[in-house]
Amino acid sequence: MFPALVDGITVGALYALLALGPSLVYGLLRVLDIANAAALVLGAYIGVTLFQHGLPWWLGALAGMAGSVILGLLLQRFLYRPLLDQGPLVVLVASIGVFIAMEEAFRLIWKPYPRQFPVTVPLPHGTIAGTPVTGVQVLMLILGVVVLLGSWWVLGHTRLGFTWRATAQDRETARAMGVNVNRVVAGIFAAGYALAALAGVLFAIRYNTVTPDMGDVPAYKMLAIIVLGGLGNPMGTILAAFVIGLAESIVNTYWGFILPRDTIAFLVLIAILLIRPAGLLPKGLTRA
Amino acid sequence: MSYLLVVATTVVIYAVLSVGLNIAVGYAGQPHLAQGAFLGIGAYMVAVFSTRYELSFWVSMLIAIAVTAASGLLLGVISLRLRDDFLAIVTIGVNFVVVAIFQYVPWFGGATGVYAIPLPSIGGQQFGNGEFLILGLVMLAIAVAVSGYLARSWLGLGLASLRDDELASASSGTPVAPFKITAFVVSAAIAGMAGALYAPFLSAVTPTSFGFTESIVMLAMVMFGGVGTIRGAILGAVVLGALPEIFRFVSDYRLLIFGGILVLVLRFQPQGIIGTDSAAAGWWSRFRRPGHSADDDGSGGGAGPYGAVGAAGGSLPGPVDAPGAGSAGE
Amino acid sequence: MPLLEIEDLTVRFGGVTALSGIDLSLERGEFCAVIGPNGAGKTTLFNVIAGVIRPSSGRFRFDGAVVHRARPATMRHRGIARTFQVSRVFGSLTVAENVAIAAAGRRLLRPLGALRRYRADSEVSDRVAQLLADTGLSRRARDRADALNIGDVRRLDIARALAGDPALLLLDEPAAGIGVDGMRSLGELISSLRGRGVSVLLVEHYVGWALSLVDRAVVLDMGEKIAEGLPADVRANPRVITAYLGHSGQAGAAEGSAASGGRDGAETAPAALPPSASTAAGPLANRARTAAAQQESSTVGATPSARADARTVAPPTTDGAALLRIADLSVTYGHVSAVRGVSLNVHPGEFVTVVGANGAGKSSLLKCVMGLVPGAGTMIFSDRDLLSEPAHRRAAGGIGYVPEGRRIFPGLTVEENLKVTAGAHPDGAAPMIDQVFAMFPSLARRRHQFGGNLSGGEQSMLAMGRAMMTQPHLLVADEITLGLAPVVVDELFEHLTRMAASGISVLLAEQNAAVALAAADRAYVMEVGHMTMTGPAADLRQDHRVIAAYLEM
Repeated sequence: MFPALVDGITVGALYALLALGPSLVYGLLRVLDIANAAALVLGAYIGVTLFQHGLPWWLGALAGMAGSVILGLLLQRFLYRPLLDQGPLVVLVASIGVFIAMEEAFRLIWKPYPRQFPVTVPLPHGTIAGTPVTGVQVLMLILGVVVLLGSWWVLGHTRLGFTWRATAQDRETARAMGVNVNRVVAGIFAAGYALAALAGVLFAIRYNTVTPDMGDVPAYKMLAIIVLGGLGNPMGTILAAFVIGLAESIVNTYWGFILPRDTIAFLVLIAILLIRPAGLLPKGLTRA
Repeated sequence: MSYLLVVATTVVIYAVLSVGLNIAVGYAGQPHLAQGAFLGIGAYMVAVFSTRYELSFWVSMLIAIAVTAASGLLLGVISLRLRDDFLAIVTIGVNFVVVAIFQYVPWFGGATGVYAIPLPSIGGQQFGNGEFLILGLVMLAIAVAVSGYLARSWLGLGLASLRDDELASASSGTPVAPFKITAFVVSAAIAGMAGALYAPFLSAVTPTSFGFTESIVMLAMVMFGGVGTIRGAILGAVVLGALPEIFRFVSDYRLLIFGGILVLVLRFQPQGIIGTDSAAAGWWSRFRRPGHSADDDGSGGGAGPYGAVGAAGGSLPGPVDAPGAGSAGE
Repeated sequence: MPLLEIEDLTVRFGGVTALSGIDLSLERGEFCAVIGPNGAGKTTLFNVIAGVIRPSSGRFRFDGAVVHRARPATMRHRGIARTFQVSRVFGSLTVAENVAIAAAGRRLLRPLGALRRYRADSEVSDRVAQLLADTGLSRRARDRADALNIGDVRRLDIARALAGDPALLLLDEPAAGIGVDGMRSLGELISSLRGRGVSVLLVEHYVGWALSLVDRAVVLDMGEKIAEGLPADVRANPRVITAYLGHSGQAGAAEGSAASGGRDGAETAPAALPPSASTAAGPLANRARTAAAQQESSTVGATPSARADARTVAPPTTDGAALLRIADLSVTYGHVSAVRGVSLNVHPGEFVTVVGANGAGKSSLLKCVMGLVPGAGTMIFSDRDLLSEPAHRRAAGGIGYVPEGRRIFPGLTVEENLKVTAGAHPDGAAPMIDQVFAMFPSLARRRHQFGGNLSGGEQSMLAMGRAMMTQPHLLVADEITLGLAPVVVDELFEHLTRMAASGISVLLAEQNAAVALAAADRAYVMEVGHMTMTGPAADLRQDHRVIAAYLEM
């Protein structure tokens, strides 16, 4: 049981990092942004490139996050903002287009073959109950908890937090109260893309590989997680990320499920949507 | 010469798929990002039944169409319960689930897929490249005929009305559920037909050739030409299908270009290049009948009070009301 | 046996009772209006009959049969057709196709019927042609529906509803946004339906117009039926007048008007508004009113020179002129024009109210001042061209806003609701929060509660306090009395007048004319997008034409 738990929680932390941004964006704009997963790949590539040039991995991660923030800001300003009044579906399809195009661009820039990202994280590691736990996994666990607590604190206690909540609940009134909605949206995009880039670097270190298509599965699984968490409910999203991460690990380890782990999220999603068409925890923060 | 035939056949198969997808996306306004999966189901049915069970191509094709239609029925039933963006996500998920089934269920041949699919034959004569193209064109003719007829039928008009406004459509007496399901079924059946041709044409099928990327490629074709029109679906398939084959350098950038085109079209020409409300359609109608707008052009539909705009004129569903804006009561 | 019978109908949303104990019956061929002020429950009643909302309790019989599970799609087959308040025609189809799909009837239900070519069906196309002729749309048959103007959209909506040969036609505020001319011609169309044997239930906020079209009217207020009867009786009913013009007064002023018949009720309408119960109104008179306000007691079409006179006697400000000057302002949503060529001034420290019935365009006007909807015309606020500024900058630049329905952020605590606004001001939140809590002590006790858990009165205070956080020069308040008890209303008005006394200008849009006119210095009356009257509030209180503005249009 223990290896599955460790694996599930660490993967869940990655999913949470990735899905948090789009979930916050959904709360504000009611659109799903798949291109957020392109930041995961971009962050990993910038990180690994700088690492191969001799920089420490964490500096590479920071640079990757910075690069992804720029990507996010450009996308929201020049693509999503003009598309918003065309409806959520148009934005979704456009973001898929961006994501596919970006992946191809990464393939062309950084070549299709995988790169290694051999980092040892100097954190306590060893075996717990006979299970080897690496420093990277410890780091992912720590970061997962930090993100969970950090988002709870930011949303509950900071200015960005309550302007986000106010805008998500009632955009028009928020504007009338002096909230610069465009700036809030830009801030949320920046934060979301930065977190996705961090997830990308951790993903790359965890599996010691960076490939252009490493964002594929997380991108669509991220959608499943956001829906399960109750669209636009960040705490629900984080919860769903851990639930999905754990479910995948446990089901795969113990039930010998015939399908690969990547389909489990979608099967669970389809099943839950058929029973609860509005998602698992709908309307957490946006009460009407 | 034979290379050109192969390219042409590929383009024609894409055209069949786009015309089929257009029924669900364009006529009924449903977000459908799983046409690649239906193509795969059709191709796999023919592959498995014509190799392992040694059925003839034609019988396998009928099975393929029946099975994809049934899968379309299932998706159609699911669509009734879901909102736009949730349905879009579910159709994305369908791709991953279907590919995983191909990959991991032994009956489908596992990760290596199915090889040595026999060539179809007609009157004892085995198919060559020319025959594949001819059969493809026949299928395209069938798809165009079906979808053109649909657009002129009560069903097509009903689909157009529920695409524009589902509540108003239901209030006007349109049986929304059976109409929507029919759109998904017809869309899927046409994809199954195309898949049936695709399998022997490639002579082998592998699970990963029918993933989400293919679905996006087909959606890009429909949107490129103009959602809701047959001509747009065909133009999209021809342009986007032929580009990577004609210009080799393009094929290295295939997905980059498809993704880019999808984004640019949505951003700057949401009605598609030659869709109903596109700039090109406006120019064309002004060119043909100077002094009249596109809306006045009543010649296309023949006599009657209806005018030119039929079911074949649409777009993705428009903005939904922001939650909270439409509170109950007054 | 009546066609439609509703008994003891109650609808609750969460803890809110939208309708309670409503009885309604409708004979075959009868035309009936459901009227009532904003928040009365008209739309809820409509939605119950249309099958959109399921009632919490009550009986609903149609055509002799009990309606159990009403749904929009099945109502059609029972013989109930509806129109829509917002434009819901099929935009990508032609006008004729819009009607055809509704006229197809059972063809759509039979698999083979649905696969027929619709253009080849001459039975339907004849019927469509007839319906379009009846509704005056023949010329536009081949045009796309999204190219129609709002008046034609309403006609098309009616044609589509008639296509199914309904026994009952539900009309949902068909006059909204179509203007005076549109109302006249749409009224003719509705009257012309009498020969068809169809019953009509008309839900409408233009009272006079609706009453002129029907045999009988039902009046709702705050979820209850307060009157029912012939149009003339309803119009003269004191409870109805009070419901529209103000909740807080005794309705004694309406005597003698019942005798009037038909549309000429205005001549004998009560000469004065119901007096307000507001005790705050008294001290108001003592407050120094700006000279400019007195000068402005002309009609709206004041010439520029008259306005120049006003400027010369206005109290000193940066330019000696109005704090907010609006001239020839129009607000248009899509095809709907909500505000047409309106001019209005608010001077420093002045309390100005805009009164008028629901649908007059008051809310749109205020939203335009706040920058929430775009407008065309002139809007100057202390030398700044407001129309070019985004909403958040207007808030930061000295305009506080109390939205209609209060619009408290339900998932934010009281304190957070205040802090959201404080961001607009550089001085920081803490001192202002203390001030707001000093002004509204009951809020201080609830500072950590969620806004959604407050009572209606507390939410109103929070909305007002939230607007004060930017230390505005102008407070724009939209319908603050809506759904509140008279005691609470009085308290809110006390605060408003105190703010005005402290130098903050107030621009208040209010349906409750009795209270608003008692408190304000100067007032404007709005009808169907236009300003029709202006003057000192005290004068307008005595003016029977204000009642006409509510009940005649």
